Amino acid sequence: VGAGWVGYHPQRILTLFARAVDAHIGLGRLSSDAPEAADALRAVRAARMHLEDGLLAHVQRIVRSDVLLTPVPAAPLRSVVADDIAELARTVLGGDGDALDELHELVSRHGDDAWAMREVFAELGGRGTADLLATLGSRFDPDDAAALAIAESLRRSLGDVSTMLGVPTPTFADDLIARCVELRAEADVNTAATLSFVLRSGYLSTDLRAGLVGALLDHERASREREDTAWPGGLSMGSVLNLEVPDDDLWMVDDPRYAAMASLAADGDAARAIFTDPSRVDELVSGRTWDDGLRGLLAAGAAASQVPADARPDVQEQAAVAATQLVNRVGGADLLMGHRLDPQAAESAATVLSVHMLAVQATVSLGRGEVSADELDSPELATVPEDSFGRDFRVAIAVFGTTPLAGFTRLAASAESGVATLRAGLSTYQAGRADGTARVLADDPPSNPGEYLDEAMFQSGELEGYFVEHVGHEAERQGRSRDSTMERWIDIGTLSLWRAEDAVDDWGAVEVPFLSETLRPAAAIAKRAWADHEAGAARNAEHNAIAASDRLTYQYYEALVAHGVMEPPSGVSSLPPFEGFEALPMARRIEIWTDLVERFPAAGEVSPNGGVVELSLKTQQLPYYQELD
Amino acid sequence: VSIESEELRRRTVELRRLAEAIERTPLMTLDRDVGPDTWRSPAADDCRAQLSRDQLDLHRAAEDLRWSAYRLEREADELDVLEVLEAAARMVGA
Repeated sequence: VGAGWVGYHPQRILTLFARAVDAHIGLGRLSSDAPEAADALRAVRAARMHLEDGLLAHVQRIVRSDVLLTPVPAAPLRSVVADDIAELARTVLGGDGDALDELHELVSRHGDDAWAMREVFAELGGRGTADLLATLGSRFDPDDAAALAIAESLRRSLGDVSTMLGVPTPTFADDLIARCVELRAEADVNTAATLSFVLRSGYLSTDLRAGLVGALLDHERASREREDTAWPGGLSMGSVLNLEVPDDDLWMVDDPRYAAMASLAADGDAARAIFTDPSRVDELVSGRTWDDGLRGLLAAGAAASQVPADARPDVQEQAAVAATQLVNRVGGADLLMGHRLDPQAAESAATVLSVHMLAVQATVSLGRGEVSADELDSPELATVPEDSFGRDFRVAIAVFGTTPLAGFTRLAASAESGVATLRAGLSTYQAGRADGTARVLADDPPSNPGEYLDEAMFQSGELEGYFVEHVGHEAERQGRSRDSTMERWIDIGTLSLWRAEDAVDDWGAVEVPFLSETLRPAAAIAKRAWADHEAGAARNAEHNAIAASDRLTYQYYEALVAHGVMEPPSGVSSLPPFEGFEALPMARRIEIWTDLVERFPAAGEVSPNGGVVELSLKTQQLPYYQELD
Repeated sequence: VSIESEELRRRTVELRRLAEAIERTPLMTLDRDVGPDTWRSPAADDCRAQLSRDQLDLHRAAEDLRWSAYRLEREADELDVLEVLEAAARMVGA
């Protein structure tokens, strides 16, 4: 083993894992009622927390990784405590309320003992755990502190066990969901609230979380196909399980899908497990309406589409598959028409597009057609060149159909926060693209560097133009929709006027001169304002196109100078980022810009062609102008 | 022996028990299993450093517990002596 060695010994790391778990359990067992022991117990808790968040978490990741083929050793011994807890749980299930305090005491004392609690959950299984939580939620007084404490402690222990030692039994998630469904149908217990309670946990392992959500969606699809209600009747306002839920969110408790989406939003790996399964995404999108303005669905979808830093290639591909499912199914569905969109849904959609901007570029530049239903059911990723990694480097990307991408982009642009997120994502992408292009020109130039640069800038312009059209004009569209509201009001006013006059004629008794004198001039003013607004929209679009192409052209100059492909302007060693350039005094900006734009390229040198960018940008905007005509 | 001194002695025993339990907890020997021959990386270095700090803190906590136990024991002794003296004074007075 040399000095530079980084890694671990496969056998010893397993021993270390087992000893670290023992140490964690050992620290959890230390307690005292002596007041003088308070400081010492604080030190014990701190050490336990450091162990849990540090060494144990790191070693667990190594042990769970695919690199280690040796299975993790089973629990060293069966805990007597586990038997006691499981027995008491069965007593409580039998309706013996007196056992509650005793169970509370045992669970609160040993709830942190992951090995013991694993035995408890293995003994109860998913069905027994559902029974116990449903009983605590429905049979005890809503203010019963012991029932609440046991429920919370069990939920936390389930999270600890599943995270540290794995899901207690292979069918735990399926069994828990199946039992909740049975109890709902047969005993009229509101197990939708029970499931929401479990899914609200912040501690569940990825496997358990994905297992629960997957089984839940499978049940809901089966119910829909039978034309049954998945969670019929019953409200759970008075349950101890709902005490942690703010009043404004109580309506979501009786439909566990909302908690399921929040749960996935907190765990990208679990979200990817669901969003890469075409039938489950279809169930999420087609199966129902969402009363939260799609906030939960899009937050979960955004988590699934995220690519974590240093992600393995298979995780990157899963994120691309998840984005393919989400964008094509949501953007192409009637879902967007039937929902009042929540601003957070717009922000999540913008995050998805920002992360997968290369796939957006591919659709815009390569003119991808539509993605068929069959293609979505067995999605395949596309591969495209990615110059940031070298000229011949290709990466797998999501595949977005033209129409759903447009729908999804409009969703992203439907709120200010979404627009801001998109702008930031697009700027980052464009800077990366310019940098990659400049790097290729510097390190590995193609035979015709001028054409290569023109093509890259043209594609950047196309992408910018696509967003100017869909985002800039989405705002305009909203403006126009305000105007069309005004137009409708004018028409309605005119109509009312006509009817009122008709009515007067019918009655033949009352004169209403104020109608023509007051309403008609108002209508004319409103119509003029509307017409002005359309002209304003066209002016704004022109302005946007020029501003965007200037910015993009500058980004290419900046990258080419940074990589030594172009000489910097006189008096500076490098170009600042665009924001810094904009902050310079006007005279200095003109000086730099003139130096860059009016320079004749030396032999073998390339020069950005701002006209290419503006042309491609405007080409992308043509549909909008045609729409205005 | 007064009730107060009995309580103090109970706590003395409890604190010494806890001190011993802390020093016998598996964490205090975990450093043997986490050496560079098992795991070597920047994260491993951080974990070893943290473990070392925690072990030191726990040793100190155990020492503090023993010191507290010693003080409680002295206090209990004093209470017992006082009790004896008061009993003697009551006898002389009677």
